[in-house]
Amino acid sequence: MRLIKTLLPAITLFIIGCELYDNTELNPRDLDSNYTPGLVFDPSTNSTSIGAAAEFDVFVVAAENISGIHAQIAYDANRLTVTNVSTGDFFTDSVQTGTSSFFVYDDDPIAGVLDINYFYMGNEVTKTGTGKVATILFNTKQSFNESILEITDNSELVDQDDVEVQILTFGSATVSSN
Amino acid sequence: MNIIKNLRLTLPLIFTAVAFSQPSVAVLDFAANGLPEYEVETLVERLRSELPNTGAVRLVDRKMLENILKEQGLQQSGCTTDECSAQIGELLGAEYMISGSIGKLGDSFTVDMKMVSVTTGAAEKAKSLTFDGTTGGLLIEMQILAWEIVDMKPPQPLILKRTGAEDGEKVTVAIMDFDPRGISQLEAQTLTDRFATEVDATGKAILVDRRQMMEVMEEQGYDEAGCTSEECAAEVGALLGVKFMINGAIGKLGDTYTIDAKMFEVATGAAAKTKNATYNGPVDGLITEIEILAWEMMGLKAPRTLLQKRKGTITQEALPAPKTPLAAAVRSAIIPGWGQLYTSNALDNEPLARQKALYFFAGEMGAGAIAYLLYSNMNASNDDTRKFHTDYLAATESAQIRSLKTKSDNASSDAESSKNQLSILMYLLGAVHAYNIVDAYMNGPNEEMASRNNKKIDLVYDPELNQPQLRFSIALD
Repeated sequence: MRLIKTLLPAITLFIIGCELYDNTELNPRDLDSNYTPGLVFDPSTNSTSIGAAAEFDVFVVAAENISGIHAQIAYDANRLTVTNVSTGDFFTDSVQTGTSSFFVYDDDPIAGVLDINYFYMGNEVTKTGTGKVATILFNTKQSFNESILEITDNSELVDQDDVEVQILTFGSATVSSN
Repeated sequence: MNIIKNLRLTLPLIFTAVAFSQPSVAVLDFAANGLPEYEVETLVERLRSELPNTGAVRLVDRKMLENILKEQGLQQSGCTTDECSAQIGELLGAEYMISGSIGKLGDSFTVDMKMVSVTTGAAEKAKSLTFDGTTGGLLIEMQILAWEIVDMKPPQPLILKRTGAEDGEKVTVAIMDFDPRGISQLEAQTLTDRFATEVDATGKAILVDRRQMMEVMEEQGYDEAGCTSEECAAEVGALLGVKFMINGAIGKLGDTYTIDAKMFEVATGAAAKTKNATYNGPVDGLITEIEILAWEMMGLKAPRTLLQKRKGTITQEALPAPKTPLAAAVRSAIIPGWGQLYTSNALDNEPLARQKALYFFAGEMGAGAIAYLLYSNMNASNDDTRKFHTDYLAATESAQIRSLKTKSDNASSDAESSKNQLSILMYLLGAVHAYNIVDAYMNGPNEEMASRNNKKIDLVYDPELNQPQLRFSIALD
C-alpha cells in the first residue's frame, strides 16, 4: 500500500508536468464568412497597470471593394484616455501606385467616443481583404477589473461611390488595470 | 544356419514351457467390512493387475472366473471358506485361489488375504496388514502384498512410492566416505559420518545407513577404498537403489583445510550440486563447516545456531551471502526482474523465477519504449500546436487564418491523444512495476528454510531389506 501511495503521486506529477499548449485563444480576424465584413480589435483583451498604456489595433476583416472606413469606438472615459492614434496600412499598400490615403481622427474625452476616418484619395480605387485601420493607445486612469471598448454601429464602410457597405461584425475588447 | 533354425523351433517351446511352469492363480472378490463395495473391488483389481508383474504366477482371467461361476450358479460373495475357494479353483483349473477381506476400523484399514491350494484345500500362505493412511496409499500396499503373497521381494519403485520419496518429498541418498588428502582415513570417516548425520537432520533426504551400504558393497565385490570415481559411485548407487550419491574429498594444506563435495544423480550421472569450501582455523571448527556444507548440499540455509558456532574463516565459497526477500524487492524496484533473478540464483537457477524475471524485464522495457515514443510524439505535436497557433494569431488573410487554425487544432488533438495514451500506459506500467516488486518480495529467498530439524528418531533406508527403518540417535556432545 505504501508503495502504491508513493508511486501514484509520482506518476501523476509526471503526467501533469507534461502540460499541453492551450490553443483556444482566437484570432480576432478569424470571422466566419457569414459575419464579414467586420471591424474588430486586436488583441481582444489587454491587461495593464494604473497609468500605463494599453495598445489596440483596429482591423477591417474581409472587406470587398471599399474606399473608405469610418470606425467609431466607444470607451469608458472615467477609466481610459486616448493618448495616441496612428494610421494602419490597409490603404497604404495601394493597388495603384501614387494613390495616397487620408487618415484623421477625432476624440471626445468626455463622452468617451473616438472617431477614425480612413479613406483612399481619388476615384475608382478600392481595396479588398483584411488589414489594419489604426493603432490606438489608451492610458488607464484607475484600477479596475474590466473596461469594455466597443466599435459602435455608427461605424461605416463605403465603396468608391460612397455607398455604404453593410458591416456584419462590430468587435469589442476588454481592458483590465491593476 | 542349423543353430538358428533349431533356435527358431525350440524358443517358442521353451517360452511356452516356462509360462506353463508358473502356477495358475485366481483371485476371488474380497469381502468388504465397513468399506463401500466399489472401493474394495478397486483395491482387489490392483492386486490382480500386480500379480502377473511378479512373474511368479499366471493369473486366471477375471472374465473367465465370472463366466464359470455364472454357469455353475455360484456366487463369489457366498464363498468364504477354504473349501469353497478350492471348489471354485477346481472348476477354473487354477492351482491356487486367493481370497480375503478388506475392512476399516476407525481410521485404520485392515487387509487379510490367504492363498489356498486347490489340490489340498488348505491355506498355504496368509498375509495381513493394518494400514493408517489414505485409500490411495492402500493401493500401493495392495501392490506390495501381491509380491509378498507369492514370496517375492517387492521392487524398488514400489517401496519408494510407499515412503513418499518418489513424490519428491524426500530423496534417497547414499554418502561415500570422503577421500582423505593430508588427513588420516579415520578423520575423513569421522567427518563423513558427521556430514551424513547432518544431511539426515535436514529432513530432505532418506539416508542409506553406512553399515548397510558397506555390506552391500562387500557382497558385490566393491572395495570402498578403491571406489573413488564417480562411475564407481554411480554403480554402487544403482545397487543400493538410491536416487543420489554424494562423494568428495577433504584435504589439508598447511593450516588450511579444503572440502569438496559433489552430489550426482545415479540414473544419469549428472552432477546435481557441487560445493566446496576452504577453511582456516582450529580443526574442531572443521566439523561445524562440514555440518554447514551438509545443509547447503541439500539446498537449504544452515540454521543460525550452527552458523554461530562457526570458528576460523572461510576464504572460498562455502556459504553464500544470505539472500532475503527484501533484497529481492529492492533489486526489482531498481531494475524490473532483477529481484526474481536474484531469487532464482538463490534457489539454484529455479526456472520459474528466471522466466518471471524475463517477463517482467521485457514487459516493462517494452512498455517503457512505447511510453517514450508517445512522449516524443506528444512533445512534437505540442510544439507544432504552439507554432501553428502563433502564426494563426498573427495571420490576417482569411485563407491563411483558416489553414493555420486547422493545422493548430489537428496538432493539438494529436498531442492530447498522445498524452491520454501516455497517461494510461504510465499507470499500467506503475501497476506492473509495483506488482514486480511485491512478487519479488513475496517469492523471495525464504529465511525459514534454514530451520534446524533436531531429530532424535529418524527414517533410514535399508537397501538390503528394501524398506525404511527407524533409527534412534543420541548426541554425545
